[in-house]
Amino acid sequence: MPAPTTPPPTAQPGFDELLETLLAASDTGLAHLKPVYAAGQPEELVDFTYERLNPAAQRLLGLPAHPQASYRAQAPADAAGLAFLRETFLSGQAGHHTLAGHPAAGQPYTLRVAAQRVGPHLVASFASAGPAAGAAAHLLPSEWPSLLAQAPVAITVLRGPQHLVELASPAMYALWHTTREQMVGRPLLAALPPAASHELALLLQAVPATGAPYLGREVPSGLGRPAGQAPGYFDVVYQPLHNAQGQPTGAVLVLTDVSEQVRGRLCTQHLNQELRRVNEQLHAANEELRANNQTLADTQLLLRQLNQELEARVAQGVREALAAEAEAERQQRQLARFFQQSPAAICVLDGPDLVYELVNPGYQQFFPGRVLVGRPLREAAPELLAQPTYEWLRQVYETGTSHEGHEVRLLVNPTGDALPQERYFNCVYQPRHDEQGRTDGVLAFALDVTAQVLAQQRVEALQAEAQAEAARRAQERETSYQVFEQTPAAVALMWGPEQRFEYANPAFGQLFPGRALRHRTLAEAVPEAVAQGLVARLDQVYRTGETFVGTEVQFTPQLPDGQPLRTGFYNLTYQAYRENDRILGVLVFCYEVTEQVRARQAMQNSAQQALDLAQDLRTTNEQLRRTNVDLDNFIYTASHDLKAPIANIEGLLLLLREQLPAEARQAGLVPRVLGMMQGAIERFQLTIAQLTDLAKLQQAHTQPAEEVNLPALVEAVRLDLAALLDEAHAELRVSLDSCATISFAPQHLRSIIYNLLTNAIKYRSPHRPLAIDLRCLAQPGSTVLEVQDNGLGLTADQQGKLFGMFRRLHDHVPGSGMGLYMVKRIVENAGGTIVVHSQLDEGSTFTVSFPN
Amino acid sequence: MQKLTSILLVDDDPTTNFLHEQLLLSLGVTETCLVAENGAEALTLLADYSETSDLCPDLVLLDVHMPVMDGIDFLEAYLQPPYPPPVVIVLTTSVHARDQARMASLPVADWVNKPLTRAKVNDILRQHFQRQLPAEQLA
Repeated sequence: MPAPTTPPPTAQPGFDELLETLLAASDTGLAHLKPVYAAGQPEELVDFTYERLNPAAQRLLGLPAHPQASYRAQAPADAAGLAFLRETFLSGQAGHHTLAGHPAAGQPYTLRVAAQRVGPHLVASFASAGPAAGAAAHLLPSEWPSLLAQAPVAITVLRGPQHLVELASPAMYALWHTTREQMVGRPLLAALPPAASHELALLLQAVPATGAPYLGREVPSGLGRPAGQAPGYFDVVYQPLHNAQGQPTGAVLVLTDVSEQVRGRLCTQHLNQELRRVNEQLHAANEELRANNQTLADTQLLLRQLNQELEARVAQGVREALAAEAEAERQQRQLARFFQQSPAAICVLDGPDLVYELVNPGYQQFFPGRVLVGRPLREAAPELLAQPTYEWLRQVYETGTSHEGHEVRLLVNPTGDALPQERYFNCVYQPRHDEQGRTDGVLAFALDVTAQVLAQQRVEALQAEAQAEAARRAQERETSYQVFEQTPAAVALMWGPEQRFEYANPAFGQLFPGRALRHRTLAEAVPEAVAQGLVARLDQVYRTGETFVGTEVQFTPQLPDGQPLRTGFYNLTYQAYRENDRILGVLVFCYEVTEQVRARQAMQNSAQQALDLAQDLRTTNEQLRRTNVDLDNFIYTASHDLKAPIANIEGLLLLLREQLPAEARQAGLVPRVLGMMQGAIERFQLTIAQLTDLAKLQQAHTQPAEEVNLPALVEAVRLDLAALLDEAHAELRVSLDSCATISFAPQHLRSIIYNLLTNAIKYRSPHRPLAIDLRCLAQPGSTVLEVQDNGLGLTADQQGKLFGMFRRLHDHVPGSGMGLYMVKRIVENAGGTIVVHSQLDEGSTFTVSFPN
Repeated sequence: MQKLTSILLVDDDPTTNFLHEQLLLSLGVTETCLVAENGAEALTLLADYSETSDLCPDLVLLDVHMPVMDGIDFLEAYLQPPYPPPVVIVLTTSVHARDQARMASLPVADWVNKPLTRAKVNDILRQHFQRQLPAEQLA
């Protein structure tokens, strides 16, 4: 490494180029500025113009390479920046400044600026101090080591002619395989390990001895690489440092490892070369193939020419041969054409075995896919053996006489795979003779006439069918006629515009016995029909074609002497008779429904009678109901109105008895008359009492049913009857376990039990103590209450009268004769029943059944 | 026995009235029987013999069925002032259900079946006037 020297006063050849490269490559913005002095005052420095900006400066300042505007014009607000440049220029010392700028385009920036006067020029360098995001973004000189420490490139600053290491970035230490402590303050090459020292010396070989800056691109070097590995590549910047006086003070060395890029590029170059080589080989091979192809094409051309000559010669030979044969063939062809194209089936059979000698297509078609020629008929066409044609062929051969067949039926198989078909042929079998006149074969011609035969058959079949149809129609007509003749309905056909009887069946004739109908009009034959509107209807149907249907039309035919027969009812239909859509007459269908109508009328009558009867019943019912109400009112009124006078009579009698003097009361008949009067009053009162009971019964329907607690009710009745039961020394046994309640009107239920128990007490036997059993049984659909006693009992005759009104079967005890009658009425009104089973002098059982 | 001031008999049957008057007088229940033949007459009498009168009736024996104004109409009219409430006993021969329903809400002290007898009179005295006939009258 050469020692730094004073720079030469003039640029040597190559230096300009080097400088240009450095300016262009430098990441540091560099600017060449010239001072501007105030007009007329050469000592007053007021501004600077930009002479030139390198690309980094252009980028950092957002200005072109040669800006037209001055520094002040570019940054009018930057008085501090201008002052710095001015002072630096005037002082001649290197100066540093931090510049904040706001270019028109791009982000605001903060730049570190270093400036140094060079004669009448000012040189300034700009380095980005990061974005102007605030005070913290400004880098202070003390932070530079930190910046260096994080720099991605290897940098070292060397001082003095000995190149003492002033500082180095970690990346540089790594390249050197040393530490900061081993290097700082020591001469670079001496301090390095020998290998690194050697490599670095080699790397810096190109640094000019003049001490000018050096820029090396992709310089191969083993620096930092383990021994034996491929060398790396470095971009090398060697920048001498000078003091303000231009004396060398040291140098900055920047090494950027570009091994990856270089290797990548080298690899690509290598691959490209390889490709190019392969391409060249392929190209060569291609050339060779193309040459071969050309040779082949030439050979082909030669061959084709030879071929054409040969063909021409052959064609000539063939033409000559064909011309020679043409005449002979023409005659054969004509014969063959006839044989081949004949619509008839032709064959020649040879010898006694009838071997096929010749067969034309017309013949062959019936034996598709079969070889006939050269084979005996019985082998080649066995299906013919069973058919008459075979026998004929044999006879022709044997007798030598020809045979003709007309519409001979043959089963053949022209389609091969299908079932045999029926075909008809006209055929001629002709014997063939040899030179000696002996039969040696048979010639057979057969013409297929199947189509004609079938057509003929169809015609015949159609004729037969037509005849059968005609016969059937005749039969139908006869049958229809018989139907009309025998039908019970009256049928007639009225013909023509005047509607004359064309046909009338016997049933129709019977409607008008003894009258001629045929060819007469309805008006002529049945004059009475005119008045009854039937002729007009007929005309209408003929004119309009609309069918007339009359249901239950009333009609009274007359006897020939004009006497009316009985009136009948007829269902009648007039229907237009058409042929080819023309109305030619009217069909009359008439069916007598007199009996049905009469039956229905009778039924309607009886229905009406039933309705009338029902109405009568309703009326009667209403009358009865009113009568009942009247009776109810009567009984009430009577019981009231009669009671008062009889009570009065009784009172008056009592008063009279008191008013009579004592002797008069005893005299003559007086006591007896008084007694009889009292007796009459009492009987009257009894009758009234009975009527009153009856009045109460009228209200029996009105009481509503409810759930009655039966044991409680029975107990209440027992208490009411306690005195009577005691007097009779009676035992009442109650068993009601199976029915706690009965649905019934409570007052009525009480009456029933009271009456039955009272009766048991009244009609007890004097010969034994009374025992009464009161039981209740729950049965499906009903509840049964039984009162059984061991009393007097009843005869069968008595039992029949027991429940009648005013029936008192015993007179030794008081009673109205109304009790059981009322009980029965109450029970039956509620849908229940009451029956008695009794044995004279043993006791009675009353069984009451209440429906649930 | 202290006698009643008077008794009002209301019945359209003069015989009944006569018999009842005879019975009541003979039993010494009262000195005076007022007689009306229908409800309207009864109302008039009650107005004439008001509380201030010496003969204001203590007891009314009322028939139900009467012409002009029957017992029920009488009772309904009687509900109106100024008539004071003496004891009203309805005398009937038989009671129709509909009449009984109508009178359920009217001021009837009791129901007694005709004809009136000594025993019935005694019952009325005992139940409604806290007195009874002398023993010799009941014999």
